[in-house]
Amino acid sequence: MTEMDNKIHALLAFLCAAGIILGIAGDAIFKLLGWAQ
Amino acid sequence: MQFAAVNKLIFFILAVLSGGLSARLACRRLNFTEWIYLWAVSFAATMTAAGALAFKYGLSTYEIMLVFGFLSIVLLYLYFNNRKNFEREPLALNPAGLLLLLILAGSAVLRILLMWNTEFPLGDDSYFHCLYARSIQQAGRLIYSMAPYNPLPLKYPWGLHVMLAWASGMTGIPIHSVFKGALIAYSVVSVLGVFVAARRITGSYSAALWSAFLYGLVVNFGSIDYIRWGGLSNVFSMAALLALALLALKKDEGVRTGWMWPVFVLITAFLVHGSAAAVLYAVLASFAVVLFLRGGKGISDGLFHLVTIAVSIGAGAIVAPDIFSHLVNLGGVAGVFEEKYVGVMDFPLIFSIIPAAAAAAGFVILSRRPRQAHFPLFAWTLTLLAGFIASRYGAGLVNYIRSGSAICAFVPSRFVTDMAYPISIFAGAAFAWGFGKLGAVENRLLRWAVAAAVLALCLHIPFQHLHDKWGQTYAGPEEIRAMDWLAANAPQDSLIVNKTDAPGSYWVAYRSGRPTTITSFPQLFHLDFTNAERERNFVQAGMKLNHLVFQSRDWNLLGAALWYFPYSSIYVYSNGPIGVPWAKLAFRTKTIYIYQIKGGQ
Repeated sequence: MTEMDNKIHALLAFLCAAGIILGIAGDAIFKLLGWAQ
Repeated sequence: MQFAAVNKLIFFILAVLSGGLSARLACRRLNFTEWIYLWAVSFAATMTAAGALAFKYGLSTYEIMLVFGFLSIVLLYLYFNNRKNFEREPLALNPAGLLLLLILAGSAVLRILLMWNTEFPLGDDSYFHCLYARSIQQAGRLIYSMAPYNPLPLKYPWGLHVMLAWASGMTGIPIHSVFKGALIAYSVVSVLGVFVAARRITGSYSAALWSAFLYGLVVNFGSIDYIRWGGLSNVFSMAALLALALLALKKDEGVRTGWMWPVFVLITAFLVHGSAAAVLYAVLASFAVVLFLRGGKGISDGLFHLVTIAVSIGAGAIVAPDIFSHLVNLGGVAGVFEEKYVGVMDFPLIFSIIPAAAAAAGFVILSRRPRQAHFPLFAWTLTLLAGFIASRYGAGLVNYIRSGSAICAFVPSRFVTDMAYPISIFAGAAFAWGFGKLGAVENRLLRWAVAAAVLALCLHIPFQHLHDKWGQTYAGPEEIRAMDWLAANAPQDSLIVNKTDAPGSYWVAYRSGRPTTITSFPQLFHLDFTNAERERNFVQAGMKLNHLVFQSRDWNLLGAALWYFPYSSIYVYSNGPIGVPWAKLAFRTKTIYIYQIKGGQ
């Protein structure tokens, strides 16, 4: 593991977490607006 | 043994040889379980290739055997040239090896039991795939509509169906049984795939065993759920992706990997399902992006993946320009299909709560424990999440603004299904971590009690599935008897009006070999005779209405309209008396009434 590998690992983990949060937000908005059919 | 049987045997030996040896050569250093896994993926690809040679290029069985025989000789030569690289594997008849066997056997038994009581595979996709394969088998060549069953142009790629038709023709086993067998076998192969990939990714046997256990016996969507809807093409595609992820890791470890095998497997994925292959391309491309970011040797490795994708798309486009044109026009392909909404907050329920919660914990654990080999796991997850968010919410929003409906045609749930594999690996890492901690607890009773409780919570899930599915069947013996009567007695040029609510009606075309008014998803036409305006127009236009779904209860109206259809005889497959004096009851089983409303004596 180089310093770069560590950075890439952190970036991927961060993006995955951000994706989940974005997904939850999107889901909440779609359900609130009644688009979730 | 008959001559034909010897032929088949020789073919299978050749297919097994070419599959097994080509997998062995995909990578210079493999251990036994990895080899078995790659071999199984290779075998599916080999069978698809045989089907394509037979039905697309019109090769005879002998010519195909010649091709595979030649291939086997070349591969044997290559194999004996570098067999010393075989990697020793610490998995043998030790507890870890036995546990793996137990998990594989448990996954197989669960799936066999889930389909124990049903002759035809469950699921809306199953009858479509089987009828498609039957149409190819009957025509003896590739077809672009399921005529005579359905005149509408087909948009679904033919790779899976030539494979089913070919395997059924070679073995003499009916197509639907091949379908069931392949679905069970390749679900179990996927469990092994999760194990070999998880072991490379996490570097831990226990995490890999837990991943396989959770994937095979606990995770619902993207695993056990395949039995419910008949997702064989997706099973194949994801099995290929696990194999390619394994090879990407090997390459990353500095092991030499061949380029022909990944291309061969990717072309198969392309032929089997263009849009599932698009997911494979996207995930492999994400590996390449990570490797590019790393720089140095990563750049050539990343390029390797991109070139593999490009070559397989190019070769796929040459083999099947029809599939390629759909691949570049994905929205148009999926436009006919609208699926039920699934959002991120539904994930815990659709995957099953335990693996979903464990995956969240595993994500935190693995994120805090950086490891070079983690990259396929994180890149795979991220690509699917991005695809899901873009298609579900992004495209949904755009569609809402454009047309007032937030539906995305590109089936966002496919990304969720495909996420089951990385989720199992994350969850497996969490289980390995948790049970490691538990092992250090001094109170023996507490240790066993917690372990038993967690295992019981996990293992109630397969039993729940068995409870739900046991005895579930699309067509029972009485329905099949009625279909067989039609196959034996209805003239070839007959139309069968199969009522939507009659049990087994979706399988009538496949089993009877006659066109029916319900053919197959995804091309249903719902025509309602109670409001007959549109239907009269169809009839007046002289259209062959063998793709309508009959919903009316007014049999007099229906009978009058059907009389003008260009079929010599018309039968009704019904779940009860239709109450029309002029309809003749031709055959009856306990559950099915067959009436003749046109033709005959």
